[in-house]
Amino acid sequence: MTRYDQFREWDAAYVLGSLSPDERMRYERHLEGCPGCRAAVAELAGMPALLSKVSAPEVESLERPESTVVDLLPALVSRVARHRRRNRLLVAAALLLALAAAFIVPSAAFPPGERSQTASEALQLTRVNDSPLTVSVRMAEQQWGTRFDLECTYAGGGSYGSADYALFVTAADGSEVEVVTWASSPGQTAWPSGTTSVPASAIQAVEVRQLPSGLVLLRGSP
Amino acid sequence: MTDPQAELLRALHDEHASSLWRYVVWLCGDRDLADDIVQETLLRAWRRPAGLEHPPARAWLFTVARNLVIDEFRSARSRHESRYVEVPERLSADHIDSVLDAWQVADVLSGLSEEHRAVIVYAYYRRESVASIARILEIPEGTVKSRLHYALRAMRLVLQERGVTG
Repeated sequence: MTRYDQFREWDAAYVLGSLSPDERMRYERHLEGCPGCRAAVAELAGMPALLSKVSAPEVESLERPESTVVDLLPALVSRVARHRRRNRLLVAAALLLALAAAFIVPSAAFPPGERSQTASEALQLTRVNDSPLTVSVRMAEQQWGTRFDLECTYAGGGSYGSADYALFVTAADGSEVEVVTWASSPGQTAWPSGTTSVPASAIQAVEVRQLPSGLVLLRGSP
Repeated sequence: MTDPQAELLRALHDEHASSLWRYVVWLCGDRDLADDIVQETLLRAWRRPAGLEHPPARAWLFTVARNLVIDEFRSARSRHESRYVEVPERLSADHIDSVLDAWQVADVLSGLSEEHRAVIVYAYYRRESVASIARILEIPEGTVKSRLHYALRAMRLVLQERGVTG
């Protein structure tokens, strides 16, 4: 047996630290003069780091892969079949809807579902500064932001003149956005509506302000 | 189902179902959940829109499966289901890649022949010397070294095929 043959299979034991101190010394001396064994050791040098990713208790509890071969194909095939039946029903329903829509075109002028799909939520406003305004605000979450519908009544006969107002929202990041403006006169009711891209969940505060002063008259939080 | 589609589903299943299943069990320890997650993962791969890589990369399947497991734990937590109160450590780990690598190492190790697996477990995980492994297994020391040599090389080769390099 040549020296190379004697040491040829020592690489893994060396890399894993399993050689005795004496063997390790002999092998290292051999490595100095043997490029083949040096290359072999270099190939395996990364293995201890990979093995270390799994802990010893984890290794002891490993199951043999034969016991973990699964056959989910029958279940998969029946899921696909179920899905297809449901799809056929959906296609039929969509066809019926399309047919129905063709006969009631005017009502389809509104983007379908957009108004009706989300419930609006009434917002409690607290009076911050005196004013003749009574405002109710409903906000509705939309996929694209938030929609506000207001009813604003200006008490008649007061000492206030006609004025402009605005609805502002404050977003979670502290930024303020003007949603809608309107003018009110004594004795009038206005129904302003407006939308913002700020999602309902990000709205921290809603304020009715007088323009152009910016004085906050009413404030509420969702 | 037309035949090519059925064939694709079967191919996806045969190539990936078992290893995905073992990965999900490794992640969450729940075999029933693993059945569902693997089915859903394979269906998503099967329905993948044209234009995406076909067949999907293995890494894609493992990512989908892992995300489905996380979704499951999130929604179970919001339903206050007691069995999922604690999120398994392997799911909450920050190092997604290293959890996948760890599983790959464990999986390859468990797939080695009994002889090869035994010498690696003794040598690395139990820190036994070649001499003591020889005594325990009642084989010559030269055979222990030889088995370690072939076992570690076999592991390295399979891990490389799976894209895990050390």
